Amino acid sequence: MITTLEKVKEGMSAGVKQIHGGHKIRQRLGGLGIHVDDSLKVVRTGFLGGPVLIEIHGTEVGIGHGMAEKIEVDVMEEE
Amino acid sequence: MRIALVGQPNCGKSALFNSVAGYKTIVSNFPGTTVDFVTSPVHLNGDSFTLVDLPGIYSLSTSEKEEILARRYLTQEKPDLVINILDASVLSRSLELTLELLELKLPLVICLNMIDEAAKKGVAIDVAHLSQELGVPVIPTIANRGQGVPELFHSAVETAKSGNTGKIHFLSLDVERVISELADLLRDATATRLRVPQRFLAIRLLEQDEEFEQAVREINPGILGDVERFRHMLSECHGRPSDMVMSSERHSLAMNLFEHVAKVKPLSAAKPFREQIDKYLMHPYLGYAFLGAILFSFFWVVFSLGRHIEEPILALFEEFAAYLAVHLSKESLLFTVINGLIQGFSGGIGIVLPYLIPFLLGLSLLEDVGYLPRAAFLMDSIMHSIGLHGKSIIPFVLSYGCNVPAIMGVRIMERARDRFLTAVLVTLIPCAARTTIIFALVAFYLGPFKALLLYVLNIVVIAAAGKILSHYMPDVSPGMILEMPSYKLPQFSAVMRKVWFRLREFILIAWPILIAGSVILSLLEYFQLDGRINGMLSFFTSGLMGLPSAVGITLIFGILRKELAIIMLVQALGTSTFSSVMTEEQMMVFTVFSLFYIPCLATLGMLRSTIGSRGMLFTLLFTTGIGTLMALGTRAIYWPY
Repeated sequence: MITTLEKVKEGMSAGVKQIHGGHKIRQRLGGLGIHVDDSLKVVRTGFLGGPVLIEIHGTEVGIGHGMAEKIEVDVMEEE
Repeated sequence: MRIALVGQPNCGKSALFNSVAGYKTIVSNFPGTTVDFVTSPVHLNGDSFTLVDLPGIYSLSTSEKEEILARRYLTQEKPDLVINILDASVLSRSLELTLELLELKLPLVICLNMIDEAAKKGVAIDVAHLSQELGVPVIPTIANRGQGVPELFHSAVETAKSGNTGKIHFLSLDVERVISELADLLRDATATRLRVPQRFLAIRLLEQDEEFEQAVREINPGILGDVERFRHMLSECHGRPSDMVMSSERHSLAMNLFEHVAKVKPLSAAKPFREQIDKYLMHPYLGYAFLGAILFSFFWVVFSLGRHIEEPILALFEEFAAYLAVHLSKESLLFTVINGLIQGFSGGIGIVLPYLIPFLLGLSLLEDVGYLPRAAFLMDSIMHSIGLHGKSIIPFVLSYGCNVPAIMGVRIMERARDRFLTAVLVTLIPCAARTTIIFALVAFYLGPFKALLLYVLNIVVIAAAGKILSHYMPDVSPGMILEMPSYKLPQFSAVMRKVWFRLREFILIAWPILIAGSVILSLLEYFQLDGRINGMLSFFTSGLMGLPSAVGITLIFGILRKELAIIMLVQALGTSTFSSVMTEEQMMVFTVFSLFYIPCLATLGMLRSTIGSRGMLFTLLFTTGIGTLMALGTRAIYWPY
């Protein structure tokens, strides 16, 4: 299921499909090891416009709501 | 010999620096604490060199100001050796920066730091294999315990002598073809004049790097057409923009390297410690309850603990002043000057003991444990509504106690804009001394409800001021992106050294200003200039504000220390029963103005060293403007009565 990162439910894994919004955002995310085709796990969803907490490559990264909206992901089906 | 330390934020760079250079930089469990370059001469193993601690950078492809400064240092100042510090517990991500650094062709040594953390995560790294793959020495370390550090610098000095720059790693064939064709075109003076390797410049241009594109435009604009053609070629073949192609290529190269040299064994079924704690501390609802409890108890401990130490010490100073008054005759110039000195000195103690020491201890603990980024995460959306970020919450809360440590706390923010905005807004928060004024005048004479109203008004004004300022200084960052470090047990010596490092700054910068200001005010009194000052200010105090003109001097004293405004008011009005000489309107107007106008001298001193003289001047005008406006507004409300 394709959606944006801030809509992914807690505990779900997803693959990064696309990063919208200019190369500055891609640079920032790339620096933290977040690229297209990477898989990540949502540790905490951004409720009430808050940031999203994800786990990626063994670290946890908090991503502001606005930025999460620009990350298109493919949510993996629950096992 | 100059050795530069380069690494991603929170990789233990500053800990490494401090372990050999003594305490000159702030280490914390918070990404991005080193904002300016710190250099230090170091003598180790019989070698001497200058060590340069560069700000943490995630990648050499960046548009962040601090990261560009670090990169510029590497390309233009050309250190004799680069030590690339990797956080072994996030090796694959850290290797992306290493791959970029190799392109710079500077002598390089890898410091594989936090190997203990990696082991805890079940990651075992084959150091010899990694060294062979990168073509440079790799030294495993645990920098905060000094483990492996002598070996690292020994290897660094050797490598600087041999000039070994390591192996370049090649990307996919089609990408390599584009890089080498572009690099060939740059073989002329372009790359040489920019003092970077051709291949490095070619990669930067393909990654749409603004700084290098601008530099090339200045010396060889003709080539930009070719650059555009190559970028197009890459994006056509890969179906994504060229910068993305490059970063994905490097990313998969780093992942491959990681898989070659590291073995990850699955950990036991028990959930890691961090997950168990974060279940509560980062919970969508409970997290805020814990945040509130932690901040409140921090605040409460800080501002109740010190009071017990402060009072007896200040009493001693008063006794001393009284003793001098008897022996030196109270009217002499000498006594006036000494009394001013004592006042300023004890005023400093009144800030240092009750507020700064416990505060800095608490902040250092919260920092080193790793809670601050989590607090920032939780508060992000709320602080965003006034143009700030989650990290601003710490200075904001602390400001209710004292503005000075709050402004010190502003430095945990990595962007100059955020530091500036937070520092300015934080000075509008009523500190303990301003609270005294609210309580003595408004709560006591006009009732607690009106005092509460003032606090609400204050928050509304701060939110509005934040909105207005961020309108003129828009947030260019795409939003928060913050790494959550793992929880660590703080080390006593590191915490104490950090407290001292920050305290020293207050003692050297703000305290002397406080003492000098205090002496000047005593002299004003001695030469009986207060009447004249009241006269000069009367157009403002009585004309505009409708206050008794005697309050002029009290407002001046209030700049020295806020609580002096109320103490001097007793003297100036000749009574402590304010209601007998001031109307309700006057009390309200005086309090509202004192609530916002010019921060105290110690705060101004800290502002100057944090956001510069111009920033300080701006704060001075801005806060006075708000104070005047709000006081006039208060007058207008009382007008009909």
